[in-house]
Amino acid sequence: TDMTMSTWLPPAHILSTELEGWAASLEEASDGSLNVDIYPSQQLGAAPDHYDMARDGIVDMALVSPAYNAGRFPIFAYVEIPFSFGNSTTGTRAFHEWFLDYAGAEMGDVKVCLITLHAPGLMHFAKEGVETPEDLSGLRMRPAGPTVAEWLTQQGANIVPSSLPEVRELADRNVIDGTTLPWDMADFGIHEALSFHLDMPMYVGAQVHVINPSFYDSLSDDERAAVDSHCTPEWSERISTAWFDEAERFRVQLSEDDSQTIYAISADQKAAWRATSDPVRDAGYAAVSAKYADIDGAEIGAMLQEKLEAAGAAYDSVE
Amino acid sequence: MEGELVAILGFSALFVLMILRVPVGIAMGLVGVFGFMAMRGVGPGLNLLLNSPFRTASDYTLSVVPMFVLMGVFASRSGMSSELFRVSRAFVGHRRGGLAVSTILACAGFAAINGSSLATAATMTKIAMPEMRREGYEASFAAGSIAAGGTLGIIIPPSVAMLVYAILTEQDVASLFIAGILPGLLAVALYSGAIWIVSFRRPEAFPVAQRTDRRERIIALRDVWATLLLFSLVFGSMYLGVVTVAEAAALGAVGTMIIGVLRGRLDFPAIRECLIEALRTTASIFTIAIGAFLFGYFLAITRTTQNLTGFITALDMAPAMIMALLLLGYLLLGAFVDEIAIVILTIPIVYPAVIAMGFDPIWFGVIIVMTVSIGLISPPVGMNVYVINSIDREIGLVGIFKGVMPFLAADLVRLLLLSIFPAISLLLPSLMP
Amino acid sequence: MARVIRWIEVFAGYSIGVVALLTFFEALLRYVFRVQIPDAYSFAGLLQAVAVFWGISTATYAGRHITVDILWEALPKSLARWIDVFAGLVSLLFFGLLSVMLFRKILISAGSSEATNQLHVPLWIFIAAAAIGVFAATFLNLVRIFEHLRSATRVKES
Ligand code: NA
Ligand code: NA
Repeated sequence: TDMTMSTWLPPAHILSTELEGWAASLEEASDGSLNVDIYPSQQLGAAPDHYDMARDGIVDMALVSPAYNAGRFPIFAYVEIPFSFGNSTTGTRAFHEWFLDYAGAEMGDVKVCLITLHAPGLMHFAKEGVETPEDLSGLRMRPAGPTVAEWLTQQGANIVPSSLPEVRELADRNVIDGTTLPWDMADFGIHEALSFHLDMPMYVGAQVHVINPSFYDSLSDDERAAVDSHCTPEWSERISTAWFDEAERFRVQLSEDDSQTIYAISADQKAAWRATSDPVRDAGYAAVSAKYADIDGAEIGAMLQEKLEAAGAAYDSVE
Repeated sequence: MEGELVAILGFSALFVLMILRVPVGIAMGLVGVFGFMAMRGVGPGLNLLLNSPFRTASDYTLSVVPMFVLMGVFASRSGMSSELFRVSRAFVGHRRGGLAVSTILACAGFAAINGSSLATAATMTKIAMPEMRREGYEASFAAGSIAAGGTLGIIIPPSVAMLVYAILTEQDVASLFIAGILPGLLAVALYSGAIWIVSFRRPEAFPVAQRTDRRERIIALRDVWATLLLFSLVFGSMYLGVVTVAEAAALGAVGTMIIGVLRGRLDFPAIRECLIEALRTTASIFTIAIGAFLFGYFLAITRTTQNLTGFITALDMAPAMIMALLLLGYLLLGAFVDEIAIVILTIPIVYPAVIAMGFDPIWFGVIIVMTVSIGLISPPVGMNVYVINSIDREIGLVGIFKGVMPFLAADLVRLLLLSIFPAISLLLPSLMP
Repeated sequence: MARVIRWIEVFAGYSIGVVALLTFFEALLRYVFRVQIPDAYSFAGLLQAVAVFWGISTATYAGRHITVDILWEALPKSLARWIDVFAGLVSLLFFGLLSVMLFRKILISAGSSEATNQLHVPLWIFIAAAAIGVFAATFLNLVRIFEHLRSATRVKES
């Protein structure tokens, strides 16, 4: 059986190469009965349409960034609340396990297979001087996703939304003063324009990899077993760990680069930053309670925190 | 079904539909949808229509197209094209063939603030044709110089064709525009050369016009401040990299409007008509873009692009030879098909192979726009010639095509020079800060 | 009919103007005063979609789409008219399918709480506004086919 899989990332991206490895392993597990065809770089549809593409059968499996669909997946959006995740490795597994309980409610028209996190993201600026939340006021920031955007707005920053490939141009042209991204932003050359890095990893971004349910149902028992064995929190952790290692490589590279400034702030300043995320957290919880009658947003939020703590992936456990 | 077979059937269907005058965008869209159905099933094929067309229409990066179109419409409506003609006539009009050279220069100036060839040709026909007639110019050569000058609209940036290329290939629009400047000037020089040769061999075609006195020259010169200001505003900000291209385009459109209003040349009804004119151009370009994306998904799912790239790179032929054949193909295509449509239709297929052969993406963008622009004046379907013919009914298509011939020769020379010396296009972008 | 077309074009033309002004003022305010228009980019893109689809409807009626005319120009007028009818029917198929799917898209989007990033304006409103343009295109396409059938000769675009 041919399995058509779409991503919006370029083929050289670490997530693309990891997915190739995942696909090869899946093919092997099915004894060659499954054949995965990967179409990278938005060849089969725009990045924000990838959830619908899997749902509608345009492809069998798609790499989805729910951050592109503001307001549509409020439960999944918990992942992006700043100062929640301490790491993106065991954190991925914990989040995947937690989200499966709500996948039916939020992504009921697809099968959730994998959830991947990028390495904890931090803020990068064109100029020095941002040490406290107040320093963000008036800066033009390109946010990671809608939750981070809302958080930045609350700190008084101006939002300039853009896709990842455009960030470099915006930074080069002084359209933005900063952005939030993990260290592998250097892969896009963004560090050349934004060379001041506040050494305070503060949020994570997530992708969910979903499968068309009719395609899944049409598989033979053996094929389905192979897919099931590859749609697990363990696989999610494995892929995210590789991504984290990649980001670390860039962090080391930038720390050895004289043109780059990685600066730390005091513990008091960090505490001040942490306190700023409560409003977006509460708003995120409220959005869930409002959209799903039978789900209490705050309650499942607390469950996610517990889960993260148990996995050693809560924000506190790292400090 | 096999991808290759479906792809061949798809291309055949596309050809038949287009020749039966189904709008290019709609033909591409339908073939894309039904071809996708053949590969993935009826439901998935139909579902392409759920998101993709709206996604294309609402794509903010494409907003540069209507913005530059709008800028050109405002500029034309507020009389900036006739100012340009007046000043170039004041300075070179009295030389042999001078009015024709003036036309080319005015076209070049107008091209620097608008992105469309048809707009350039249309507006210059109204302005320059009566003047050249009055001075006894042979009508077919006069019209030929306007038709050729009109192609500068997409050769000299801003250019809708370059925009479309840059967006499709994810190249930097600013770099591509900057890369188009020197080749545009080369085009002006070669067109002027063509006029000079013709006037040398057939003096009766281009009589000598009256000399303008110095006072009039200065008055005429004073009028072009608006054009210079707008051009430097848009390109200066883009060259220095202080705004995005979308912002530069909006700056150009709104700036042209404000200047037009301040000089008393645009009132509210005129602005409304300009908006409608820009909307019409925008709608016809977006129809093709919408169809092209749908067709692109069909190309992807049949792996046509990859297969073609593999085929071409496996050919035992020098890349320069392949490029020559490719450009020849574009010349032939350009003779029949709309220029924007050609770029949207073929670039997604051809571009990966060209890059795989090691050609520079910016250079290729410039050369492709140059090549398809020739189609605007080449028989049998030359849109610029058609536009002139629809405004000036006395010469006839054959007459205008005859007058275009020296300029076609100049175009081929330019194409050759650009291919041999890529630096003509690549020098300026390499100097960008 | 001419008044309806005019009204559609004026409305869509203004939308283009608003896109230009939004982008212009967004940049101006951002550079000069360091304040921003929330969701400016989203609104500009969404308004552009409305303008484009409404513009496509009048382009369809007026026969202003980009076409390959080589065969059509060469044929006698009586035959060319049938080519117009055929092309009209093919276009009708496209716009008909697109109308159905856009109608579905409105429903799906309204049910999904999708909204703009900052002001949380529901997206379905814009999708519906744009979709009206495609519904109009379908209808005007039908009208055009009838006009071709009625007229004895090919209709030159206006
Ligand atoms: Na131009
Ligand atoms: Na031609």
